[in-house]
Amino acid sequence: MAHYDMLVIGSGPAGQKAAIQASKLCKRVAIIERREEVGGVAINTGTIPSKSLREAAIYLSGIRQRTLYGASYRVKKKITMSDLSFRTNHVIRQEIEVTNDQLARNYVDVINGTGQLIGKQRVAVRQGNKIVEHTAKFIVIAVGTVPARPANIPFDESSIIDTDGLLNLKRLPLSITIVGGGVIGCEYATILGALGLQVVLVDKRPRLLEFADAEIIEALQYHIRNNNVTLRLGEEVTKVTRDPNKRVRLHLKSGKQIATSTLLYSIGRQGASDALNLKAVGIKPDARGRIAVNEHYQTKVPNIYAVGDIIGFPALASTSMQQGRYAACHAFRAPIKHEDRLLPFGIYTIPEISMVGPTEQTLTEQGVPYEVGIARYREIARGQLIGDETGLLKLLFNRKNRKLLAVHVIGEGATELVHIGQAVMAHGGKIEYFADIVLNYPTLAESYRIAALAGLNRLA
Amino acid sequence: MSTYQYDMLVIGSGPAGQKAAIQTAKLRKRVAIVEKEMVGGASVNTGTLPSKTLKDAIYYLHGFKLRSFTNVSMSLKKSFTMNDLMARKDHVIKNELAIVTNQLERNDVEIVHGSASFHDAHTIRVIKQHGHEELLTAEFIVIATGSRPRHEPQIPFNSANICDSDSILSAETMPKTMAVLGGGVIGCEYATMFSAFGVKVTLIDRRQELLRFVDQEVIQALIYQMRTSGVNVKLNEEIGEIKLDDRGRVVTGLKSNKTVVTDLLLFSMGRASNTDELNLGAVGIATDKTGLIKVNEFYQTDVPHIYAAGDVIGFPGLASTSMEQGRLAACHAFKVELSTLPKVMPYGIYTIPEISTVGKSEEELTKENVPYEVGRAFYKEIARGQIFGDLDGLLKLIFHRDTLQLLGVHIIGEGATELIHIGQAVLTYGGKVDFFVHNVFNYPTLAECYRTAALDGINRLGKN
Repeated sequence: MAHYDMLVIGSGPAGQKAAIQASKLCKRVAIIERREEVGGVAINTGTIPSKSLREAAIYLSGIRQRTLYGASYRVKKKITMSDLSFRTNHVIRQEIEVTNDQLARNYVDVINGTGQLIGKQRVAVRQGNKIVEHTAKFIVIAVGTVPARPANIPFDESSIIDTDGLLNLKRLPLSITIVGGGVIGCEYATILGALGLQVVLVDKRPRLLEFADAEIIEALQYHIRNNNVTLRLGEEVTKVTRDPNKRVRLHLKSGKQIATSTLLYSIGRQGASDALNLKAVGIKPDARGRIAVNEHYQTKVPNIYAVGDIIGFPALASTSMQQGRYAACHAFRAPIKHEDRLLPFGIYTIPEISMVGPTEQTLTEQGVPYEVGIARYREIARGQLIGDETGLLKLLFNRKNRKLLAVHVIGEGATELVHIGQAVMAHGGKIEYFADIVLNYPTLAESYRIAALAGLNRLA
Repeated sequence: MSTYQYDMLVIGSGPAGQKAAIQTAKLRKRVAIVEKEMVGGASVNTGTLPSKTLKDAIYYLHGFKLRSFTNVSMSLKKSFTMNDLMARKDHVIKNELAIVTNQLERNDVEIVHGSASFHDAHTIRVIKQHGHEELLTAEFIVIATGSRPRHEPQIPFNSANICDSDSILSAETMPKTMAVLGGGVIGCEYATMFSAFGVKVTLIDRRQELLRFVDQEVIQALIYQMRTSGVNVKLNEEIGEIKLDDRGRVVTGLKSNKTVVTDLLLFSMGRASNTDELNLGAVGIATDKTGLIKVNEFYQTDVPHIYAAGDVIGFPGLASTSMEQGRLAACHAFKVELSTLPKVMPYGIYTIPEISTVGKSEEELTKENVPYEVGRAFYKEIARGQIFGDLDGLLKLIFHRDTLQLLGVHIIGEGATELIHIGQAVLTYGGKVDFFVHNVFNYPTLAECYRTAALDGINRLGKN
C-alpha cells in the first residue's frame, strides 16, 4: 500500500511519457504493468517488432539494391524466420532496457501486476493471488489495445493467426493471406512480399488506407502488386474453412475462394479495458472497449485520464506519447502547448509513406484553391544513389498566398523527410522557402526544392 | 538591345555553372556554358557523386554489421569486387549526366565545347577541337571552373598506388592498408569509407584538430569512432619523404621520424582552383597561390561584371553551396530580388558516420559570449537508432538560454545530412527549441532525436 501523486496503468508509449513527465514535475509516480516486461504493445508485439522485421526483410532480401544490381539480386537465398526473429528480439531487448533505464533514472516505480480500479483514487494490483492496493490523486489509463478476434474466425495460433501471432511463427509460410488492409495489414503485406512469400491482401474497401492521399495510395498499390502481393479490394470474407489437407480456405461474398497456408487476420483492435473494472468508477467503454475523453484527455471522472490507443484514433505511438505528456501536465497544471493541427502520419510499408496536412481530396472538398508540385526521387542524385527510382514527394500549397498546405511522400526515408515540411508549415511558411534554400547535396531532401520549383512553374 | 552575343557566359558546367546558367535562362536571357571536358564538372564525374556512390555501396555492406548480420556482411564483402563498385558508380553517373543534360536543354542553355580563356573583359576565346578558335562576347561572365586535387612536387604520384582523390576512383584492386594524408572533408570521407570496407587506414594531418568549421564535440566523436573502428589517426604530424619500397609499397616518412608503410597512399591536402588557363591577367583579376579568386558578398570579382562561384572561390567547396552561389551570382547580375529570409547554410560531410551541421557551433557562441544551453539526444535512446543499429549517433541542439531561440544543430550518425534540414527550417524562421517539444514526430524515426534533445536541453535550464 502506497500513496502516489499519479498512478499510470500500462507502460506503453503513452503511459511511459505520462509517468516521466509527472516525475519531471517532481511528483511521486508509479506505473502498473501486467506483462513481465515494460513497453506495452509498441515494444513487445507491435510497432518495434514489425519495424525491426521490416528492416531485416529489406536488408536480407536486398530489395533496395535491385535497381543497381539487377532484379534477381538476393542477399540471402533462403531467409528463415530465425534470421528475422534474431534481429527483432535483439532490438526488443535493447528497447526494454532503454525504457527500464529511463523509468529508473526518473524514479518511476514499476509495479508488476494487473491494475483494477476500486475507487476514484484507488487501484488494486493483482499479482498471482496477491492483491495490493495503492492510492493516487490522479490515475492515467494507458492500457492500449489487443487484436480483435471475431468468433467466426477459427484462430489456432499456427495457420490462422492475428498480428501478435505472426511474430511467434516458427517458420515462414509459403503463402499468406492477410484480411484487413489497414495500416498494419499493409505493412505486413509489403514486408512479407519483400521476403518472397506469395501474399494476398483482402479488404472490403475499394482502396487501401482511405485517409491518405489518393495519388500516393495508387502508387503504393502499384508497388504492392509489383512485389508479390495480390490485392483483392472490395471483397468481403464470409466464411473461413479448413481443407482436409489442413489448408485454409477463404470464401468471399463475390463467390471467389482463396486457398492459403496461413491466414493473418488484421481487422481492428479492441481496447484492453476488460480487466480495469471501469464500472467501479462509472466509466463505460464503447463496444470496441474504447474510453471517451475530453480535449484534456480526462474521462467522465476528472481525476482519471485516458491516453493512447485506448481512446481510439489516431492510435499511433507518436501521438500516444504526446497525449501521455499532455495529460500529466494538465493534471499538475504545468504549462503545455498542444500542436495537434499538424499531425504527421507514418506508414512503414515498403516503400514508406508519410504525410502531414490534408490530402488533395480534402482540399478539393473544402474548395481551397491549391496547386501541386511533385518531385520524383529518380530526378535527384540521392535517389539514383540509393536505387530508389520510384519515390515521390508532393507539395500542396495555396495558389493565392502560396502557403504550404501539405506534404505527401512515398519512398525511402518518407517518415523522416516529412518533418522538414512540417517545420515549415508550423511556421506558416510558403512554397518559396524550398526554392530559396540551400540543401545538402546529395540528399533526398532536395526533392523539396525540385517539387517547389515544379509547383511555382505551374503558377505562371 | 545589347551589343553582346550573350547576356551571360558561364565557364564550367559543374553545380555552380549549371545553376547560374539555368537561373539566367529562367529570366529569359541568352546564356551559354563553355565546357572543356564533360558536362557536370568534377561533381558528377570525379568528385561528389562517385565518392558518394562508393560510400553508399560500402555503407550498405557495413549496414549488415550494424544490424548484427555480421556473417552476411563478411560473405558479401568477399564476393564484392572493385568492379561491382565501379559498375554501380558508372550507372549512377550515367543517369545523373542524363538528368543534367536534359535540364540544360529544357532551359535552352547552349553548351559550347572547348577550353575558355579571357580575350578581354567581355570576350571569351574558346579553343575547340582541332584548334578551331572562336570569340564569344557577353555582358556578364561567371567563372565556375572548379578545382582539382592539389599536388605537391615532393609526392611521386603514379596513379597506381600513390593517388589523389580523382585517381583513387580508378583503382583496380582494394588495398589491404592505406595512408590518407590530409584530414579535410575529402580525407575523412575516404578514410572512414575504406575503413568500413575493412581496409587498415592511417589518417595523417598536420593540425591538432580536424574540420575546424564544425562543432568540435561532433568532430571528437568522429575521431573516437574512427579510432574505435580501427583507423589510426595521427594528428600534429608533418610529412617528410615519400617513396616506394622494393616490394612496391608506399613508405611515408614523417618529420617526427615515424614511418607508415601501406599498399596505397591517398594525398588529399587541399584542392587547387582551375584558373591557370583562364588568362585572368588580361582582365586584371588576381588569384592567390592555390589559384583562388577573391569575390565580394555578391560573388563579384575585382571586375564587377565578372562573377566567380563554386570551388574556384574556395571554402566551403561543397556542391550544395556552389549551386547556391551560381544562382545568387545570376540573380545579382540581373537584379532579381532575393528572399528576405535569412540564409541558413547546412554543411554535409559524408563520412561513415555522416556529419551535418547548421547554425553556430559551441566554439563560436562561446567566443561571442552568447549564453547558450545544449540539449543532446543519442541514437541509442531512440527506437529507430536501435532498429538501424546505429548506437553511436548524436544530435545536439544549441539554443539561447533566455529567449530559447534555436542557434545551431549538429548531428553525427546515419541520416545526418537529411535530418539537419528539419532544424534548418526552424532556424530560418527564428523558431525556439520548444518547437520540437510541442510537435509530434513519426515513431519510430531518427527525427525524434529533436524532441529528446529539446527536452534534455529544457530540463537543463532548471526552470521546473
